[in-house]
Amino acid sequence: MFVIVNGNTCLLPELRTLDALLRFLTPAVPFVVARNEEVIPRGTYEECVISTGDRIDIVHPTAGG
Amino acid sequence: MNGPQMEDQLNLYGQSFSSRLLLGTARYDSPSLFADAISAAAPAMLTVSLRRQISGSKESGQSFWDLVRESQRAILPNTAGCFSAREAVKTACMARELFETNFVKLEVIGDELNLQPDPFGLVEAAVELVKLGFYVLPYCTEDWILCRRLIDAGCMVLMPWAAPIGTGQGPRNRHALRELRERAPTDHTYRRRGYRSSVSRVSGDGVGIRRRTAKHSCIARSRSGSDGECLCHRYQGRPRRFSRWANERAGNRCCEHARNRSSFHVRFTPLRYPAH
Repeated sequence: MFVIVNGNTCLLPELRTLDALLRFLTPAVPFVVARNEEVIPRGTYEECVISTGDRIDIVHPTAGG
Repeated sequence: MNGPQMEDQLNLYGQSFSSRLLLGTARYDSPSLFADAISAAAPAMLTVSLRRQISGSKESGQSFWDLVRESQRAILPNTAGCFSAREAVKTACMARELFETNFVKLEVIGDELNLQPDPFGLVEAAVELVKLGFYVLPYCTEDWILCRRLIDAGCMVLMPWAAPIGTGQGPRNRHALRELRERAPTDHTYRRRGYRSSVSRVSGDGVGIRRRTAKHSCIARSRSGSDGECLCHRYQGRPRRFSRWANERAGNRCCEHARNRSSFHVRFTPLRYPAH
């Protein structure tokens, strides 16, 4: 399957849930995730099913302002 | 709490802060300098951005976040880098999930060169975010009509710029800022320092500063409709100290450390109070 992670197309093994995807990608904590422009609350990653072609955004706090 | 103490409080959306400084977190030379600056300035809030990243400098990002957490300061997420209302709303929602705060410094940029706010996108995003329960602090220009639209949208705080980011010019349009300060409290009187409003206490005001070039002022309006003073400040190369007045407004913190650091040279220049 492929998903678009932070604007980059990624070919990935078959992963059913967002939780599985995050365990595969291991982003630095803390982070927050949006799937297809919708923010996914923490604690619901296991229930969040991902499909090929989904747009996943993973963002972290950074200096600014 | 007695009167003078209440007057020293910065009130944003019903939340009180003992300092009137909002401190940017970008472009410090080192984490230790950043930590020292927070310690010296004791700001009410730290502005923090969001970045899309999976791999790369995880360590540096983690150390930044550790410093922010250890400071125990309130976080003011911003929507820096957003060029549309839709983008800004999405970023604000992500920030709320990440930082667990309803506060957001709303930035919708209209010009890539000087990062001038896009007034149309700003109002559109503010309307949406207020509906979603955000406490919106819009980074705007000093244009009164824009500010009125933002107030109408439900914004209780305005953050008009003093000059385009990166120019280091200080307040370019003092008259407009002064007029904005006068007109923002549309239906209530406000007070000069030492003069108590007949309507309600004044919510107070604050300043947002970046590390080297502080550009915008902040006008706060309380729920009662009265407002605070407009502060402006400017970068002047190598000023030797914060002005006494600014120190008083910042909670009498003199920032000894900041005085001695070339990378933290900011000088505040207050606008004159309108005559009563």
